Amino acid sequence: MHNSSSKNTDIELRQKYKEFEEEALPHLDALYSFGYKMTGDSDQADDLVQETFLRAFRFWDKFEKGTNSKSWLFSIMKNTFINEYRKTSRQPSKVDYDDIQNFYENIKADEVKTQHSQDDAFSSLLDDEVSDAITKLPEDFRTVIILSDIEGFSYEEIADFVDSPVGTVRSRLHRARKMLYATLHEYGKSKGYTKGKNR
Amino acid sequence: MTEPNNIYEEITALVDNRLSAERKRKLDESIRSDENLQFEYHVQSSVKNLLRERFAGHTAPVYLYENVMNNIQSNNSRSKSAQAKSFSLREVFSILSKPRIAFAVTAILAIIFFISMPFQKQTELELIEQQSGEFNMWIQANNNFQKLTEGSLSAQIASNNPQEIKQFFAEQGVNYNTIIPECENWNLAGAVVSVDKGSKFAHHVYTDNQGHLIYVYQVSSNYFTTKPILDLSDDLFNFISNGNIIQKDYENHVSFLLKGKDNIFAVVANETPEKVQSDLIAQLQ
Repeated sequence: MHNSSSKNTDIELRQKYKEFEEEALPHLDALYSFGYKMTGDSDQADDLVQETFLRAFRFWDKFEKGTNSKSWLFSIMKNTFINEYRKTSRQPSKVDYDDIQNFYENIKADEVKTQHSQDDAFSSLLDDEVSDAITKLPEDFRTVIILSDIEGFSYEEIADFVDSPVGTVRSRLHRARKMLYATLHEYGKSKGYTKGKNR
Repeated sequence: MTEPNNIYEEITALVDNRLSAERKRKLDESIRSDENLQFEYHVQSSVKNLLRERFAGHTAPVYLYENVMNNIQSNNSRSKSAQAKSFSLREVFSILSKPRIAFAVTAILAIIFFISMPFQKQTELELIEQQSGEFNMWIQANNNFQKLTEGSLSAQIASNNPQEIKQFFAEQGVNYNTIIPECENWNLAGAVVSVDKGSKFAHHVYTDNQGHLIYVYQVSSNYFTTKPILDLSDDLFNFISNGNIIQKDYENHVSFLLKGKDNIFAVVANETPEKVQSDLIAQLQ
């Protein structure tokens, strides 16, 4: 009796591994990418991903088969990030939205007539410089822009993820792109990729 | 589809293809005739395109997939093992509540204990043979000792002051209390902090005047119950958690594994086991 029950448990476990491997593991790249952009550190992203999958496996029975497993995994990662990593991570220096807004208005006046040159200027920026600028965004804005522009989530999926209305998502995304643009413009100027008067 | 009130946020929605056809047509017209709106459109679309081109589809490191699966399997087997032990203990206590059975069981256990004593070493060897993989503490300790004696691993700090080394560990991010005894006949030589997936681990070394070396690798025992990357088999971990010491004599060195206070210690030395036990192991327990 005991052997039979143990055998059944082993079969169930093997089935669970198989399902998990087929359904959850394909999202590993997306989760790592999100974790890396959120933490700005590859070791922390590794840990965050591993902890996320451990929890996901533990609660795999609670996952409703046929629903969006990517969204479910991202929710687990968000909670893991909030509970375990955000408190202990070294927080990068953050940009202040008001400063950015002022700076943005300044460059806007200068750039309206030369805007097409910006595409080339940004293409000269290194990936690390762009990553650094993303990491410096305030967390709410960083989350939204990563999910939208890198991970390709819809507004509704992001709204579900950040537990806010779609209008808030759109507003944060709008501001996040402006902030990132201003920061990248500043980087470009300091490297001589973009023109612009110093404030 | 809700449409935004603010025309600038509408441009964000336009870039993300979130507007109705009618609203899109009107906004396109407005943008064509207004330089400020053109600039806003440029900002929203250029940032979106930049991120999509640079970062979308980035892949995780190759080893991560394997680590995730190993991690899940090792955690699962640890939890299964704990459940099984808890169940069997409950059964045992329930049976032992009957006095006659308790007496008989005690007598049998005593006989088994005396019979099995000569085979204790064999059990230890089996436990050691279970250890494998680059993230196994026992394997790492023996490999590190090998590297130390070959000169391919050197101390990050040279000091004979235990407090200085403890401070070095703390400053380098070792987040558990380390124990660095002073040993008669041995000089503290230095220390190294290793990193495995963000976790920092403490290692230190003693030397004597005859060129012998004792290498000590210590990790918080809590680490093995919650974590992950660095590993020991469950059986071995339980064995040393019960106060037992693992010892294996190799051709040129001797290795020990034990629990002392709150840490698990791996000790490797090219000195006789008796001397290492009396000079250091006794102080770690």
